[in-house]
Amino acid sequence: MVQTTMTDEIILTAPDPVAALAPDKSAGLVPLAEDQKSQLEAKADDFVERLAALDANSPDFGKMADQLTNMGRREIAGAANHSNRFLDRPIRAMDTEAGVGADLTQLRRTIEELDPGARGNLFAPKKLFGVIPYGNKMRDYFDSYRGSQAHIADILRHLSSGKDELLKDNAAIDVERTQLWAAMGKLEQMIHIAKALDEKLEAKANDLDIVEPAKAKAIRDAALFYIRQRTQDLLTQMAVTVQGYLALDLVKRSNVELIKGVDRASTTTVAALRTAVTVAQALVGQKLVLDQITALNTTTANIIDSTGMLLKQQTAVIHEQAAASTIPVETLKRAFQNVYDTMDAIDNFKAKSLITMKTTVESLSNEIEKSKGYIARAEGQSQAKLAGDKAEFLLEPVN
Amino acid sequence: MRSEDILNRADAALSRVNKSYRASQQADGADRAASNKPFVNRWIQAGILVAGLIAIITFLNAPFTVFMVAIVIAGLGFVVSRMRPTKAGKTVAQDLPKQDLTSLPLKAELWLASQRRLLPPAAQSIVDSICSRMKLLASQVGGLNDDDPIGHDIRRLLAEELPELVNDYYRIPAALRKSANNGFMPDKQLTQGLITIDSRLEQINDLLAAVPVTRLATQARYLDMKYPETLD
Repeated sequence: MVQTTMTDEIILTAPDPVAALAPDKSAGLVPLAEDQKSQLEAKADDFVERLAALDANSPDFGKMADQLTNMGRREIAGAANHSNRFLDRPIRAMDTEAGVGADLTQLRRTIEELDPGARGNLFAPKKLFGVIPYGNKMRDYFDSYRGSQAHIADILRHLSSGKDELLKDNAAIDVERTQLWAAMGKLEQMIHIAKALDEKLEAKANDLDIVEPAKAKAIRDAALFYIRQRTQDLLTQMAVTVQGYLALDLVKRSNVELIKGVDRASTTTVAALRTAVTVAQALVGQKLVLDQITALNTTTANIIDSTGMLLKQQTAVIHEQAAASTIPVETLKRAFQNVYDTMDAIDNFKAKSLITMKTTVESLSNEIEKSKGYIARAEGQSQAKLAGDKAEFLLEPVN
Repeated sequence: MRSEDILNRADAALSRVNKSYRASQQADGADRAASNKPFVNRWIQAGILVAGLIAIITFLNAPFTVFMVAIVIAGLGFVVSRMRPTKAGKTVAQDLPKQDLTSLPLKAELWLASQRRLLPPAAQSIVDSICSRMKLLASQVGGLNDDDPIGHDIRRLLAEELPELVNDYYRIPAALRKSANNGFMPDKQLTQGLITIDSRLEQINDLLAAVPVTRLATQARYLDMKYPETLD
């Protein structure tokens, strides 16, 4: 029977929002190689030994301890730069004024104009002033396709380039995530070195408690305090960065879903147009030629690899059914219903996705706000340092 | 011939004017350009006056062509004197904040180069390095504006922090710059400050260079995603 244009129900799933990540859970997410760990620990050892060798009252001791407050400043700034970018990224999928959203709205409007369901009984005779028989409603209806075909072709072309934009966004996200991963690796190294320094400084202070209590106190006050503060900064930035990393994946998955939707909208539209061509032939013997269909088919088949085959099969079945069926208008109505279903699915997806995005953006904004304080503090230190002495021992990530 | 004589004299005057104009443009010592200014203006004004006088004289009893040539030369002299910039390419530190971001690196470079000989020898090689980094930066800042965090950074560094560092150094009497004062050696502090600026510029250049690199990687990834079957 008339199951021709029924396609599998389209389900576009909005991804779950990214939950806030506690800073103390953020360490260890990016694995470090064993040799990296040992190099970093050697750096920490070297630092503690050098610091302990200095006179606790000398300016050199203060200068060296200052390095701890500045530690990882560049890594934090670099990672912050990347994780903020998620918030700058225009979420094209959600924009109803331009791009894919606007094209879909336009397509829906055009399709609504052609919907056989909205035209009343197409079989009823057309009468002038309701009395004089005049023309043929069915023929008029199919004639309206001719006026719309160029417009539909135009919209589908726009959708195709809109899809390219979404793909480009996803490519940019992939690249950005690669960079974020590298930034996270560096942060992880700094966290590792910070934790090693914490441990070793504490052990050193304990050792010195009896022989040099003044130095032990200096190490606790000037070094240990700052290294703990710095560890917290690094962990907070790591948490933000991890969230940014996950949030970018969320945008990517939303884009993938939307691409599926755009593909399906294009397929179902072309299917509806094809159905109209065959139904016109079956019902009124009218040879409805939609010049654009072939062109559309080529365009859409190219952009919809996954569903292209399905479309071909459908079309063959439509042809068979249209020739045999007694109720081809129902077939046509169903084809239009399919387009509506697809667009409704996209609208639903967008509504759900918007909530997800909003939740993610809010939680990420909060975290970024927290980490901003630390970045400002680090920035202040670097400004103060501008004309100061250049440190000859640098606490930096390895390779 | 009288007309040739006039032309030669006018030409000579013009070429002298041009030569000193070019020289003033190229002068790296901004002081030299400033001292050239009244001298050059006097020559242009004299040229216009002479050509104008000749025009009047020849109008009375010379062939028409000579008169026309003199008029044209007087006109040219006038145009050249109008075209001369009022400030002979001199960049002063106070002007740097007014520059737009795209011209700031080159202006700052001109300014710093003009200060080079006033700085201690150890700082001079760092100045050279900073200058070459600023040249590279100039080729990268197109399309940036002050709203970009990095654009803001560049402005702070080149228009405020760098001149401040150098001017703070100038405030110390020359005789005291080489001696230690309260444990600080001004020459050394200046050099260290310049090294910090140099490495910050290196970072900025690297950051800016990463933009087209990322763009290329994105485009390659996009092509991968769009035409996956061609990967095989």
